[in-house]
Amino acid sequence: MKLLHLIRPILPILPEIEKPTHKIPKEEKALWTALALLIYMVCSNLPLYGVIRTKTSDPFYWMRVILASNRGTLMELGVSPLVSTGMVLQLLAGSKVIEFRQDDKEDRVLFTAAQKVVGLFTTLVMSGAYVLSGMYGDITAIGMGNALLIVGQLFMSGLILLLLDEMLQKGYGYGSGISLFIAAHISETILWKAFSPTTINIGNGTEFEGAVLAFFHLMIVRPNKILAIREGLYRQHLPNLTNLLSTCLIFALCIYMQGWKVLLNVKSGRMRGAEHKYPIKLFYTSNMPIILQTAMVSNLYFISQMLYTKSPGSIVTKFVGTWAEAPSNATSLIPTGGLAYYVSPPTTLSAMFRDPFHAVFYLMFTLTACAIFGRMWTEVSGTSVRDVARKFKEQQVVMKGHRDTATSKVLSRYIPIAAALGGVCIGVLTVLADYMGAIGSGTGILLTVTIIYEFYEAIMVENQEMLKALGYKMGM
Amino acid sequence: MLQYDDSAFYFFALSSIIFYIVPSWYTILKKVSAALFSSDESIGAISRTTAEQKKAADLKKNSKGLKTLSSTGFLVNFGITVALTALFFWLYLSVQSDGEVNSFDPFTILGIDSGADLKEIKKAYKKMSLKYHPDKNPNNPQAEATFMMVAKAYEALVDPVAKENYEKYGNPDGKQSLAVSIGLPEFLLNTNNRNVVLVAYLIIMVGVIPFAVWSYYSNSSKFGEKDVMYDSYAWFHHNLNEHTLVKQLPETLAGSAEFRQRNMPKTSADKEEIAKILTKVRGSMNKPAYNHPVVLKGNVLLHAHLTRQTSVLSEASSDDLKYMLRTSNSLVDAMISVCKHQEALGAALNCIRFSQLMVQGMWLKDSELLQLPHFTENEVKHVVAKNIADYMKIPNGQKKGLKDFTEEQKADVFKTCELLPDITVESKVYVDDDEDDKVYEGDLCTVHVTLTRNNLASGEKVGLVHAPRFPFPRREAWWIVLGTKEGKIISIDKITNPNKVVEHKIKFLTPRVGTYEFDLYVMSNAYVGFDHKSSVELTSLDASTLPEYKVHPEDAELDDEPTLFEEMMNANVENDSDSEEEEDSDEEEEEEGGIRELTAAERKKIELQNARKKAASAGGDDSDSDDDEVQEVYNEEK
Repeated sequence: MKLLHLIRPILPILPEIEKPTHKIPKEEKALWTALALLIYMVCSNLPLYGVIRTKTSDPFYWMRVILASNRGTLMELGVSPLVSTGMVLQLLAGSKVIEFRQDDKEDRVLFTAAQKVVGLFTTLVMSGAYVLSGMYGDITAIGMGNALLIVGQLFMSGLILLLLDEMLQKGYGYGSGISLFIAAHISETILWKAFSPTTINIGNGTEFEGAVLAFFHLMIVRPNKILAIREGLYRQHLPNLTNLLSTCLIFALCIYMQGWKVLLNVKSGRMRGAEHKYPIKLFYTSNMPIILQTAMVSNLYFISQMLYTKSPGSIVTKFVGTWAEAPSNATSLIPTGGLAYYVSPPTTLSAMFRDPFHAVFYLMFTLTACAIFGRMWTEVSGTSVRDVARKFKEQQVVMKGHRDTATSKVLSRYIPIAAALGGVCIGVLTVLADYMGAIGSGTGILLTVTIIYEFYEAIMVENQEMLKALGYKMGM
Repeated sequence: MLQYDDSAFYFFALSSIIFYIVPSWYTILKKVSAALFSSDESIGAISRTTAEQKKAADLKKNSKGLKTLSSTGFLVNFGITVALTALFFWLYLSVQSDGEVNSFDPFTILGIDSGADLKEIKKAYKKMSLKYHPDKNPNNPQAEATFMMVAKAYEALVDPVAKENYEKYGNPDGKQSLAVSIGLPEFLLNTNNRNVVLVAYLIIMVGVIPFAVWSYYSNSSKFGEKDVMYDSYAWFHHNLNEHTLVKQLPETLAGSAEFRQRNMPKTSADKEEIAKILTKVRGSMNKPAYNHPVVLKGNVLLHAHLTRQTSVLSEASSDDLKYMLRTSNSLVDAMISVCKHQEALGAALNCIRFSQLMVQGMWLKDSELLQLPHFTENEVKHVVAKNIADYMKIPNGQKKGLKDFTEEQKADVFKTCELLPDITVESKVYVDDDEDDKVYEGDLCTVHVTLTRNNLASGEKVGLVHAPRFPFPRREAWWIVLGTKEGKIISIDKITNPNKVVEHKIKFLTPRVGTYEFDLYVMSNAYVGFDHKSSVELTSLDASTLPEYKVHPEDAELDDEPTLFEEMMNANVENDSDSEEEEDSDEEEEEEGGIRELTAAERKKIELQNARKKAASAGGDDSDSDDDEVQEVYNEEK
């Protein structure tokens, strides 16, 4: 009796998207993808009903960017239930707590069903916890009916997100819904910070929030054009052009580094003459190391903030982290001491020089964490040397020119290094982005680039398959 | 409640307009400069012989000059851009004097340079405060306000507290309440306009956007690969089969969905003209299989082109014909892909031949020599060599059929002979394997075709096709077709590489044991009479003599090693792994039992394999030792 089989009785009542009966043409795929995106966008701008707005600090502020969530809207939870259940189940499968065979069809069906059930359950529990914790106002103030309504709204939007993700994954669209929503969320943030028409007046005249708009505005309004350019480039309290440019730079750098890979020549043992190239990318584990690192840091923040509010004076609290209100935004807390402070990025360049130990510690911590997570993720996700060698063995694929060397030996020259080094590179890029003040945070940009690159690759592969099916070769 | 702010909206509109007009002006200027100054080569209007002069002139007329810019799309875009540019300047001028958004700058207020020292500041303050003092300007609220500002500005520069406040928050009075608004026009929020705004939203959201998506989608869903309509593919599927002949192909092309609207005869004059041309081309035309006026018109026009009688066409028909010829390239490619799908080798070759004839404006019974400029049936009669490839090779002085030509015309003929292709084709068959390149049953074997253009110097690239009768520039390409003797297609590819030496690999699955002979065709997409046909021989050997795939012992052991997590949870896993091992050993025993029950034939096969393995290892000793060395080096590095 496997643990997975417990899911079987629930299987018939689970909502499920049917597999497409025919191959979906690419225009239709684009249409479905756009539609899913539109629904997500609407949901992430629709405020929750029955909420009393309170100005409490937002403990998940640091996670929001990678969870595609928006405070006070239907997308309050974002993709966090789906991502966390996916990760936990994969961890359990990877560590063989859940017995799960990729090649068994029933196992796969049960595994996805389990993912769905646990995902929905997590959504329910999380929304309940949010309401009970008084995030939307005191439970007595909003009343039982409204509290249930809020849980219902969050649960339904979680369900919609889950179904959208399933729809895209089953071949109606490109890639996975979760990554699409994350990328869309961050892209939206970057676009908004660049072109936002919102104006802010804190006493020294109206200013635009969007960096580009502000630049034009300053250029027209200010009599001294050189000062105007300087302010447009470097203003501190709102997004400036330097932020935007460094965002572009990080984007370009990420895309450039995505292409770095080692191509291993492999051939089929079953069919002679059939050979292809097995790519081992530098970003072998993609953006996983940085996601795990951010998740870890966010959880640390969460615990630390809790400790700080409960007992600000104790030694444990001082060690884990002390907090203070951010000068620019009164609703968010920033770490000022303890472990939480040292694992958070320095806020500005000047802060870096004031406390160089902080900067160095943050750098070392992030890079080490990324390298370790990169290595670990290969084991969990089934891309370690052993798994790839097993896959090769099953498909009877051998290395070209290595007749008498074990496949695993050749692979172990590349995969562990790529995983660790790739993790470090991802870490370096993130840190660099954070130091340069790139919009949408280093993690966010990295996620977006890797996601968009994966989409691009998927579309390219599809186009090429189509051409091949018709017997055309690209160019020559 | 968020406020809407008109003056902020002007800035927002300004910036948005910049993002439209800058790229728009760039494309407009690029198009205009392309229309006026682009070189003849870039539009393919080159005349290497006098026969090409008319084509070059036509091309130049059609794709150069301001006239080419008169398309609706361009004019609409131009109009919008000009209007927006005017709006931009109007907005720019009107916001420049907009004081509302001006910021507090103490130096400007005091009328001094920024960074002035304390003495200057004090002096300026004294002067300004005297000038605007309320006692000196009674009943002047403007002066009073200025006086207040001057005092504030002075304070911001001199008083330490106010100075810090100014530097931190931009205001000497300290942190001001945050005023947030959004740069959108105020009338959107006005209650009087509420209904209008709502209706506009409704129309855009429910009407315009879905309609735009629908119209884009319904239009793009008509087109398949290579921008050929799905209806055309269906039509080709219906019409093409292994018995299709070249003479049926003009009608097939004429029935493509792309021409259905354009080639519909509208007036009776149209119909009369078609009837008139029909009488002229009927002799060389296959009996039409379809009566539809569109198919008939296209068919007749194509025949007029193929039999070189385009001079009788009216201007409208001539345009229709040009449109057909322009799209014919991708349509013929689509026809060939349909032939490939139906595995009809004969039909595919006929499609290629048809495209050659169409480019040169010749028809089936015409001599190949008509591809040369100024040649007519009259000249052809005098030439002994009926193949153009042979005629090309005759030294210029001895070429026949030129006696009525002027010197210039003769030069044209000689020049054309240089442009015509002269290719050699080599091919070899092998399996891409590092041990043994003999071909065994079930292998993926490679036919490597090398095409050499002898008429090019090394490093030179082939130019455009010499085709004076085809109204558009055409790039030289070669079709490489591999087919069986039974008329099935193994592979068909279009090679567009312009280099002197072109390599092409065809990969396919080796058939059962035996000797096979395939036909390899190399055919031009534009010239008649340069087709190459050679046969490719393939001997497929018995694959059972090959060593079987075996798992390297180290790889096999890998599964028994503990994973990272198992190592971490050592205590828990120990018991489990014991039971797993037991299961594994059971399975192995079963397998061994299975092997014992092998049939005699299989045992023989294994023996053969062993024998082969020995032979291979005897021959492959060198490579083994090399591998070991690499291994050692790697270890040292570690």
